[in-house]
Amino acid sequence: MDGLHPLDAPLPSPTARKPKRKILDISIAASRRIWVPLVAVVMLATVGVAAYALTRREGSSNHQSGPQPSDSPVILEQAPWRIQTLATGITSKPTKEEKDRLRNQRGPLTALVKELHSALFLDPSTRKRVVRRLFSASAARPFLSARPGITVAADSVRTLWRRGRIGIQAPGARRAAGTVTVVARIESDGETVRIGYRSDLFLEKKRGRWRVVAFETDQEPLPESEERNKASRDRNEKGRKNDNKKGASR
Amino acid sequence: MTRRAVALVVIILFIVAAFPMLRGGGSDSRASGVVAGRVHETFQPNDGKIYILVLGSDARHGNPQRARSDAIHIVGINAETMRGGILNFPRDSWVDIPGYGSAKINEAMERGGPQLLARTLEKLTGIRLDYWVLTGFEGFEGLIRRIGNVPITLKRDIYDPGGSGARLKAGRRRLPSWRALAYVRTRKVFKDGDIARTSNQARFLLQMLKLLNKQVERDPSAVFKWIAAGREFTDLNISADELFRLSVLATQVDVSRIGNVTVPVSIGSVGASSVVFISPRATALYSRFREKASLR
Repeated sequence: MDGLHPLDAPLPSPTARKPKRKILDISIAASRRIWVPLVAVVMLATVGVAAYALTRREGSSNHQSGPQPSDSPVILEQAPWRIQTLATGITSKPTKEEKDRLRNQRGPLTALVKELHSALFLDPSTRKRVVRRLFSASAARPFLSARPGITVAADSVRTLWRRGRIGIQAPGARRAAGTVTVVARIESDGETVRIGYRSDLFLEKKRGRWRVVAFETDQEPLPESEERNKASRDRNEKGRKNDNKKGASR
Repeated sequence: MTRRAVALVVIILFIVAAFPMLRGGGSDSRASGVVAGRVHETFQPNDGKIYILVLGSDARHGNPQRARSDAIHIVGINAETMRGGILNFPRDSWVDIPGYGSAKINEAMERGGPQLLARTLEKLTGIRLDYWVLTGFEGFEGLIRRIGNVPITLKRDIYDPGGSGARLKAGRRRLPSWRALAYVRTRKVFKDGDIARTSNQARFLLQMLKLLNKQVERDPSAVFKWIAAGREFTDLNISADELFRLSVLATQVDVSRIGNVTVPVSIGSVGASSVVFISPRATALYSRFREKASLR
C-alpha cells in the first residue's frame, strides 16, 4: 500500500468481510450433501480438463444457439437484456449539452455490462481478459478472486433473467453506479443448478473509457422449479392442516 | 396603469436579484453552508489510513470558518481493515494553540480557521489529518433535507425548549433537519453537558453513515445524491474523483466496526473560565488511533 492513495488501493473482496449474503460456488448443489474432499478433487479435475479444452477451442461463442463443439458448453437461447440507465444527482435543470453528454454514455455503459456478463456466464474462457480490460487494476484482482459467474465447466448455460439499472452522475457524466442481476440455469455432469447473481458496480470514465473501480458481488444457488413447487405445496398443505385444526377447536 | 405595472415588475426583479445581498451573505450565498478541504497541500499515503476532521461551528449565518467550533471530531477510516473510529473533543478542552498559547480548543478556528484547528489537533494527537469538513447551522440542515430524515434511537426523552429547542421523545425516531440540529446541539439537559453532546454528535454521524449504506445497498447510484447534496452546500477543495472514491469507501465500511470515543477529561477552570483538561490517558488513545485509524 506504500505510495498508493488508499482510495486507489484494492477494496477488500466481499469475502474478506462477513457477507450479508453468501457467495457460494455453483458446482455444489444446495440440496445435496457431498463429502468435501472428494468434491474438491472432482472440481479440480473438472476445472483442469475444462481449462485445457477451452484453450483449444477456436473463437468465442457468446450468443450462439444450437449445436456446439462437444468441449464447449451448449449455449441455449438467452434471456433478453433489460438495462435501464438514468441520470442521478441532479441539482439543477441540465442544459442541452449536459443532456446529450448523459445520453451518449448509455451505449458504452450498456455495452460494458453486456460484455462483462457474457464473459462471466456465456464465455468463461474470456473472463480474465475481459475483467482486466473493463476494471481498474485495483478492482480486477478482487473481482476475479470473488469468482462470480461460472467457474467450472458447464454442459449448457441458459440465462433466465438479465437486468441492469445504472445511474449516471449528472451533469458531468463521468461517473456511474448501478446494479446488475442475472439468474442462470447451468447443467454440468448431469446436475442442474440455478444460480442468482447480483453485482453493484461503481464506474469512472477516464481517457474516454468506462471502467469499474469498485464493486460488491454476490452469488448463490437458487432452488430448482420442482423443489420450489414442492416447497410451495408443502407450505399450502401445512396451512390447510392448521386451518382445519383451528376449525376443529372452535 | 401599464407604467405602474412595468415599474412594479422592475422593482420585484431588482429585489429578487438583490435578495442574497440583502440577507447579508454577500455574493457568496453558500458561505453558511458546508465547507471542506485538504489540510495539507498534497495527500500523503499512510498505509491505507485516512483522517477527516469534522467540525460544526456555531455560526447561524455568515462564514462558519470564522466562528467557534462547537463540534470537533476526528474520523479515521482504515481502508485495509475497513474499520474506523470517531475521536471526539469537547469544545472547552484546554489545549495549546500554535502561535497563541493555551486556550479552549474551540477558539482555534475563530482565530485561524479550520487550518489552525487542524494544526492544533495534529500537535496534540500526533495524527496527520488529511481533510477537514465544516458546517454551520444552515449547511447542516440543508444536507439533512437533501439526504432524507436520519433514523436514530433515543434512549430518553430530550426536552430543551429554552436551549437547543429539542422536543424529542425516546425511542426510534426519524429526525428531519430541524430536529436533527436540535439533537446535536442539546447539552444542558445532560448531566455531562458538553461531553454528552459531543458523543451524541458522533452517534448522529454514524447514523448518517448507516443511512448512506442503506440507501446505496438499495441503489448504488444513491451515492451521487449524497455527493450532489454535499456539493450544493459546499465550496469543495477536493477533486470530484477524490470525493467519489471517498464516498464509495464510506459505503464499504460497516458502521458496527467504527468506534465512538470521547477523549477522557476532567472538569476544571482557568481563571473565571470553565474548562476541561484532557487526561494523560488520552495519549494511549491517540497512539492507538494513529496506528490503526480505528477505535474498535
